[in-house]
Amino acid sequence: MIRSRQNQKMQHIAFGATACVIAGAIIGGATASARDMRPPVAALNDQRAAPTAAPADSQNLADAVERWSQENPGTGPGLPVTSEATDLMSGLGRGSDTLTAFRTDRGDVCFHIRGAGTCGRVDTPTGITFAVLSTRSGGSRVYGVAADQVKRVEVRLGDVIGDAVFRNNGFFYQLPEGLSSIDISAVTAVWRDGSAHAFPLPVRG
Amino acid sequence: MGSDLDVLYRNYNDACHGDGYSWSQAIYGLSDGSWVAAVDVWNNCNYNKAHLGPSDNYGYTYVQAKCKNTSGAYSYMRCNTSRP
Repeated sequence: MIRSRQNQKMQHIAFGATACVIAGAIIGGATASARDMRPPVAALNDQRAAPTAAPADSQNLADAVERWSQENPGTGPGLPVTSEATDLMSGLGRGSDTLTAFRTDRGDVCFHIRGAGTCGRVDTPTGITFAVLSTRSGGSRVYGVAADQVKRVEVRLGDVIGDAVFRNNGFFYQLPEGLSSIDISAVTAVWRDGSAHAFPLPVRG
Repeated sequence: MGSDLDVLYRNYNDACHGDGYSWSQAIYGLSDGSWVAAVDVWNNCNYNKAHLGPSDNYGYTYVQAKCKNTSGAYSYMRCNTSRP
C-alpha cells in the first residue's frame, strides 16, 4: 500500500510538473480533480448499481474524507464520489448490517457500516482494505472491500480460520461473541489464481 | 507509545498514525467508563483515518470520544474529535 501511494504521489508530481511547463502555471488542486481514477472494483463501476439506502451515513464519512483531503492535498484520499455510493451487502451479522462503499476521484475505496469506516486502496499487494467495527449490540465484525482479482477473504483467530461473507466486492466476518479486534491474527485475501495474500497486521502493544 | 486521549463528543471521531501505517482505534464511550462503539483501522494520517460516524447511530446523543494507539511499533497518533 505504501509503495502504491508513493507511486501515485510520484505520478501526481510528474503530471503537475508537465502541466506547469505547458501552461506556465501551478495547477496542483486542479490536477487532482482532473484525474478521475476508478478502483478495480466492479461493484463500484457498475452503472446499474442501486444507490445506497442510507445516503446520510455515506455523506457523514464523505465529509470526513473531504477534511482529510484538505489536510493532505498531495497525498490524501481525494474527493469522495458519493453519487455512486452503493450498498454492497445487507442483513449481515448480529447487527443486520449494511456494508456501503463509494470511491474517490483518486481511486480510493471508502466503505462503512453506519458511517463508521475509512478509505483505502485495493490496487495493492493484498487487494483488500478493511476495518473492524465493535458495538454493544452487534459485537465485532471485520468488513471491507476487495479488488476484482480477489475470490474470497479469510479471517484468522488464533488457530481458527473463518471465511468471510463475500459478495459484490465486499466482505464481512462476524467475530464470535466475546472476541474483538485484538483477537484477529491475520486477514488474508485469496485471489482467483489461488494465491494467498495476508494483510500485514502490525505488532500490537 | 502514544497515550490515549479523552475528548468530549462533537459529531465525529477520527484516529490515525502520523508516523506511518499502524493500527489505531476510534472509540465512543460513556462517562461511567463503559464503551459504546469502536472502529479499528490500519492507516496513516497522510492518507486516511479511522472514522466513527454520528454517535446517535449507536443510540446515544452524547458520548466521550477517545482514540487508542494499539500499535507497539509507532508512537505518534492523531485524534481529531473537537470540531463542531
